[in-house]
Amino acid sequence: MTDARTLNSLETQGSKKTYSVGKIILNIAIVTLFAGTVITLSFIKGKVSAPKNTVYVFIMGFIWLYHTARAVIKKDEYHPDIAVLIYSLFLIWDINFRILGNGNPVLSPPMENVFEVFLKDSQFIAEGIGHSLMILVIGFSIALITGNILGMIVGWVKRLNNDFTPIAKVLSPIPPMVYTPYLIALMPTFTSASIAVIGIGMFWPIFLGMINRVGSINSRLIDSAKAMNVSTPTMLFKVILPYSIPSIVGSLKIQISTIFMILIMAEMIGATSGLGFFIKKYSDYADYARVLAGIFVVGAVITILNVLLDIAEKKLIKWKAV
Amino acid sequence: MSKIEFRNVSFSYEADNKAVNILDGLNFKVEEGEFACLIGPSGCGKSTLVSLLLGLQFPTKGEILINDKPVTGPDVNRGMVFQHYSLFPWLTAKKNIMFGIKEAGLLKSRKEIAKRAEEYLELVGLADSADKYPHELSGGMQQRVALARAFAMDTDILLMDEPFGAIDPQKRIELQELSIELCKKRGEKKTVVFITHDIDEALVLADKVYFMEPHKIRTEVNVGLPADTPREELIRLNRYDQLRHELLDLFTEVKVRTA
Repeated sequence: MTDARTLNSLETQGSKKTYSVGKIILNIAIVTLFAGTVITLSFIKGKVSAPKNTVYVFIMGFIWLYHTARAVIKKDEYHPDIAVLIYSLFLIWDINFRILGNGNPVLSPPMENVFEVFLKDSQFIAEGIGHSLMILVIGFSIALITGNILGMIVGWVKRLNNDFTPIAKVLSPIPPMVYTPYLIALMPTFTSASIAVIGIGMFWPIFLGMINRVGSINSRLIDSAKAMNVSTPTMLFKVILPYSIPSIVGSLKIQISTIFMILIMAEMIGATSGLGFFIKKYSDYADYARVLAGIFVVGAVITILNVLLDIAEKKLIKWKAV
Repeated sequence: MSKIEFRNVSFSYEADNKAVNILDGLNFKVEEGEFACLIGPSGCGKSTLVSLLLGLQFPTKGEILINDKPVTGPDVNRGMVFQHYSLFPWLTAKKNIMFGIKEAGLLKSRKEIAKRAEEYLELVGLADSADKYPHELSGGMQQRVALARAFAMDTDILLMDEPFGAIDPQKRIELQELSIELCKKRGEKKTVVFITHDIDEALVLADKVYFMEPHKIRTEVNVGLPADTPREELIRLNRYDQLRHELLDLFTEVKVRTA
């Protein structure tokens, strides 16, 4: 019985291994085929002009490199679906809008031209990213520090909890968009206004989140700390705060997208630099190649921030709840 | 003067507008240096008693005295070992013990605190696991760390609420031996209140066993087994058998009455 089972599992393991090498090669072949087609097509002259395709080819090549590497590293877990999907979209866009010239070239510019913006406007874009990130980091730090510390205190002290939770419940659902124009008028500079919008917009969810976290903390842990006769500051900063860090970092990842939404929206209303401003400005000029480039940059920045947060989470938080 | 004294203590809480009685006119005394085991069926109020003694909750009637002073809240003269989940999961084993030593206010310098923590880890046989986080330790090892923390805090009184309840029998015996060693054999004897529902555990550990029925202490039993006797010999003594039957009878009787 046991022998048969071991044999059986050995067999499946063996066949799995040969299968996996073949599958890796197949996966790479599929990705390469699509990448090759997309890149080759971009050299064909179409009805809509695309003077340069350097960045386009580079990015398509990069996607190929990334997926090939994943196919080798992840082995059986890798599926080429996403690569096929991405390349198909570019393929359809390129054939339809550029080569065949269907559609309006202003509204659906060739992707070659869109990506070329990264090179042409690199300085403008870099400044925009820098400015947006600066506002984001300052505004978010203020919200993160005040929201978590006040949330912790209000969550812990029953009387404050009773006082402030109803107030927070009224104020927190007000969308930041409602008071953005007012804050822009109120604050001396646009930068300070954006910082205020992000600070206030993010304060409420962080504050309420922390109150909830304190309320739902494992009571055994609290009893254990109380049994050691800890002072209130020790309870807050040495017990509740470290206990909450993983969930604070976890919600950070969700909040990053929300913050970008608030920021880009604020920048579209009244900024003179930043990514939102970049997109808004060229929308006004109907330069949709640049608008699309701006949208891609926003997506890329959010993705990079999320990846960095993931790495930070893994490096910093070594413990798990028991 | 008794070390710990419960005078006519009642405790109740309200649920659905009805008062639920947990303790009712309970009297209970523990002398200095005594190892007291509280035993009784589940739901009889054992854990409430410890929680009151610790100062996490307060009696609705009566008073609890420690060194003749009423309990007003947790204090550094009492240490506690819970059944589980009492280590801070974000601190390593050593840091958990250091936290306790620091809160007990025994030592000021970080170096001395670290040294004491290492000593106690060594004592419970976990010197190698000093830098491991609780989730990397087995349940038994976590409980060893919790014991080390409680003893390193060097409190007068030690409260243990079914500390080995969730641990498999073999590890459980090891931990019992360790408790005996830490409590009794190391110089000054500590006053211990130990809760269990395991008769053998109570007899092996205790100087006195207090049998609890719902709401109050039913009776107390002087164990009086010879000290420093190995466990294997102890459990074969006639006196041990006799005590065991006595307690078993009490369990049956209380169950019949409450059924």
